Amino acid sequence: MMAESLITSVVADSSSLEAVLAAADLPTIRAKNSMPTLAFKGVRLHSSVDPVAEAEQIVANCLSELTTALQSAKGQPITVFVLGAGLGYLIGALEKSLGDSKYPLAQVKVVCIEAESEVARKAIQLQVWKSCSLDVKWLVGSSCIESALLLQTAAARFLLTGTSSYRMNKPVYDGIIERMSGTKRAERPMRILVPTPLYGGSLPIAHYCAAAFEKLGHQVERLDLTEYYAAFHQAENITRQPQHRKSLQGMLTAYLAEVIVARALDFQCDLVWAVAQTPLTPQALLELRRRQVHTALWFVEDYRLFGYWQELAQHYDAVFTIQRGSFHDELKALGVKHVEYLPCAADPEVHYPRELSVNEQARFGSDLSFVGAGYHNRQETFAQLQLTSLKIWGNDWPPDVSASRWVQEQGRRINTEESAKIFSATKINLNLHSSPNHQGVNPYGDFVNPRTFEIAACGGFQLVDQRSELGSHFKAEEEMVVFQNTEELPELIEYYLSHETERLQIAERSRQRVLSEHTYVHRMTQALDFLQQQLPRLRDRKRGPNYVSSLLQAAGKDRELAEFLSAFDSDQEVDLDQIVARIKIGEGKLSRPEGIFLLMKEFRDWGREKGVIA
Amino acid sequence: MIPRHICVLNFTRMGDLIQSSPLLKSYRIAYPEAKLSLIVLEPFRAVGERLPMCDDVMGFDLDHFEPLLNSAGSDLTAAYKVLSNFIQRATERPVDLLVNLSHTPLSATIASLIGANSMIGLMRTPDGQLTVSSEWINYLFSVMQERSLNPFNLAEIYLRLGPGTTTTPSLSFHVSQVDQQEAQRLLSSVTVDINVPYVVLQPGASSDQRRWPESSFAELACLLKSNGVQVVVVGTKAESSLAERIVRMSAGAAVSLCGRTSIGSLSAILLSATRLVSNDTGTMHLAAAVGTPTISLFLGPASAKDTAPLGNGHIVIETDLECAPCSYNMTCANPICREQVSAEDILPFCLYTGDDVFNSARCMKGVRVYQTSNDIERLRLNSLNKPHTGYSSSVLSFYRCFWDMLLTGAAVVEGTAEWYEGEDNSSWMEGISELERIFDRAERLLAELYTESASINRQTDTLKDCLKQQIVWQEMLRAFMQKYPQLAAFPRFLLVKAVTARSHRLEDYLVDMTETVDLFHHGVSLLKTLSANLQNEDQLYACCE
Repeated sequence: MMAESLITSVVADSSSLEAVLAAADLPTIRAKNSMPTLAFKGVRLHSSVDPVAEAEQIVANCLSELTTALQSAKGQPITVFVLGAGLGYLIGALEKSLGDSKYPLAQVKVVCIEAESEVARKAIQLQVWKSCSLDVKWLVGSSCIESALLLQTAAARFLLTGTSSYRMNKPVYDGIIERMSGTKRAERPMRILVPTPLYGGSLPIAHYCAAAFEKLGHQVERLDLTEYYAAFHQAENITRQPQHRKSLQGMLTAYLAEVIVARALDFQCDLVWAVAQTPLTPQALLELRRRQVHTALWFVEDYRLFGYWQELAQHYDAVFTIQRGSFHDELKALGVKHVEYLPCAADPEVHYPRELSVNEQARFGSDLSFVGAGYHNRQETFAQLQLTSLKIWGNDWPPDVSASRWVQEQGRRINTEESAKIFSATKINLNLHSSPNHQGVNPYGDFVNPRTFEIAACGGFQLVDQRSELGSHFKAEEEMVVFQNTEELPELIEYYLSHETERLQIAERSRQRVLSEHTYVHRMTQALDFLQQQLPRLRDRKRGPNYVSSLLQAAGKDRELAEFLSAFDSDQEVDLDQIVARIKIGEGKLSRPEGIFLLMKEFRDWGREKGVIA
Repeated sequence: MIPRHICVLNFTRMGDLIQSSPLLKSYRIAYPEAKLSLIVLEPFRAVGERLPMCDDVMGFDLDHFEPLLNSAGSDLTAAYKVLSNFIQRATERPVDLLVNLSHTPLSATIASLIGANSMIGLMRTPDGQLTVSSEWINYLFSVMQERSLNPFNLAEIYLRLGPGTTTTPSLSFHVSQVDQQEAQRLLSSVTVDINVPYVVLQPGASSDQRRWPESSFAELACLLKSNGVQVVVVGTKAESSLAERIVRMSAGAAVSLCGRTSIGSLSAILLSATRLVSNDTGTMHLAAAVGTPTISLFLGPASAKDTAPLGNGHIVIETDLECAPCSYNMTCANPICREQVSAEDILPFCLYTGDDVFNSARCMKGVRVYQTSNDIERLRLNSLNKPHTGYSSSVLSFYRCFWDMLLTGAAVVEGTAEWYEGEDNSSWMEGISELERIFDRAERLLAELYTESASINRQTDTLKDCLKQQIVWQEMLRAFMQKYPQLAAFPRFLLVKAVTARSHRLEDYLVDMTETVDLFHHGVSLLKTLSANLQNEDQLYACCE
């Protein structure tokens, strides 16, 4: 009988304690390296050769994402939820990986979630992670979903999957992922290529879109083209002749467009998702259409200011816009068949409230601040306001305008993390949409800029200028305070500085509105729904033969094959090299399916050598 | 245990497949009751089906398989089913003995998936490591890189993988009545009268370097026609345009059935022909197998010694150039070997027999002309225009004896040392002494590995590191081969063994390397004994046999 105190020391709540106490004791089996493993409900939960190495591999596979999450947490605690923890081998693997990194172990809490009480009981009994210095708690049994949701915090969490235990109870764990992220994973994942622009405001949006597609369960490849920016920029140093410069940059764009085509074909994607300034050309788009690869453009720019869409839009299968009305008419007149309004959004894993240190609060905090570039209307507005304090963050503020005295840190560019800190630490964030042609507020302004959503998602309070589309996203006064012209600003500032509770309530309501309706996941869900409605080939696409689920279906009664494939996620599309990479030569008897996949690879390699297999 | 089911896996092309028929026959003789299955590539299934000793032939169809694995549109589900069904069919009846005559890893994987109590050839161990279970297969792999020192015909090497039944290595091929009817229909369609003698030409080959010029074939066709002989050109569909050019150049003296024959009808066409004139091709072996005399030209990398047709009375011609045969995979900018033989040279062999043939051969310059004869377990190439002596022939005789003793365990020859007159054997003896020193080093390094093995961490990376020392003696062997090219065959064989040793687990590596070093020891002793006793070829063979 296991001591209750032993269980109590590691379980996270009373229902887990009850589940473990009531669970039957399972017999373990030994892996080749003599570590214990379990066969449960016909599934081997850990490698029969080396469970430790297997766990290290699972952690290694997601290490870069974990590192990013740790980096984003900026020293704040982060909870790693291990979904389908099995005997807990991932804990040791996590400790080893973190020990090799620069992040302190104290920053990480581990919550092991195991739906099978018997498995968790055996894990707690064996404690293969015993000497580990990570803070580890277990959530066990049928109520683990609800308990997990109670434990999660908005930003500082990381979901670790990939174990056989995860795959065994995938619907349960996917339920946790869906509930935590508020997303429903796609039943038939697409392969989506997201090429990035080389630079500029659309660049982070491409990444937010890619992350959203991933959260929705699609297979995404990000094609990061930023490394070509230096070459693009270099053209400006080569010649002062605008025509020649344009020609050089055009050649590079044509090359990059071919890079995108090449990746799209190699990746065999269903969709290329481009944002404004992604380097695609009419020729490349035609080639993609000819090769039956769908393309979509999200034009996250003001169409009146940036006119390059006129050369490209008709070559995309669909165009999404942040403006509607006459823009849609113009696009249709160009021959674009599928046009849809898709407003900006925020990514709650990037834009979330930050807790600042005292020093950071002093640096980034203020009563009033503005983040953004020094467009004409902003210079005018801030010059007119009789302010005693204002912090302006951002570039392109000419030194000779009166507002320049408020510009912080020599007008350098502000990165995403810093802007999130500023939004969080500022009592009133001014948000004045840019306009090169107006004084103060643009009376014809329609779309809502990303900053509106980002400030809200960071829990910041903002005063935003009137936009015709704003009312469809936020309730005026309740969720967002709007000014019609700059003259209204001083009074509003004074009022909200002195009414903290009201200010904080509005900020919180706007944050909740963003989380429930205006995230990139919401937008990408809408976009993909639209595309599948409009593009029959995308809607009717069959699940490819290389999905693990298809292979499993083909396996029929072949239990050996089913067991071999249990190492893969059934929603995963696999290629031959991925499968063969799992086969370990010289480490125990190969199964028949392993032999057949090895043979398949040898046939392919032989065929490639002979030039008969492409 | 007497095998009840023998399965031979041969993923080579037609020529090699036919050359494996003596081996198949030896199994049939040794185990008359056993079921003998053959697995081949689908295009050559018809060849396998006509090898009379086989009970069952399965073809692996790559044409159906290729599209499933193309990187665009691959279908792993379908590919898995195809392979799984294939293996299931091959294992419907348990195999007791499996012989893999192919040399690709994929054939090894198929062999292991079929599985058998006893396996010969390249295969995978149950944990997936590649390994070779027969020293003659190791020999076959090594000799590809030391062809000039190989004394065996391919059929003879295959035969040495068998049960050791003493048979004359002869080819077998069954020509059915249906095949003959189909051949007659085809010949009639190109107005060949089967009651009048006809000669078949096979102008194609696996590479251009191996081809006698098409103009020579066309000229030969004209000469034959003027002597009242009909001429039929055969070949694959891909060789059709080559055949058409020959027909055109010969002004209709030849007719073409290129691309129109099946393996069955081709064999029947060859059966009724008076001669086949061919490059070193599968058609040549097919003609030899159905008993039709062949005149074959071994050009480029082709070597008569390695793949001359088995049987009596075949005429084999190769050039006398120093560079011949050239290495595999090399491109020759000046393929003069193709121009060494004229149509006039070949004509007498097509028309006459006996003394007339010898007289023609004696007149030929710049080439070596042989006539084949089959002894027991040996194909002889009897020179018709050069004395059958000289250094290379004595070295080859030496190696024939050496390998049979080392790998098959033939008795050690007794006698006295006597090299051919005028030959300098000092570097040979010096080389053997050096080989002995390398052996000492190999033995010492292996002993050190044994000592260290207890303390070695079994992680793969560490294992690879600790095996690095073993490469020292292998590097010494490589340098040795540069210095003593005539002695390179045995070191090459050892290197093949060392390189293919299982290296995923230290225990396996030690087993394989111990075997290699033991064979090193045995081989060096044998080299010394044989060299001391070397007298002449006939005496050596008298003792061997």
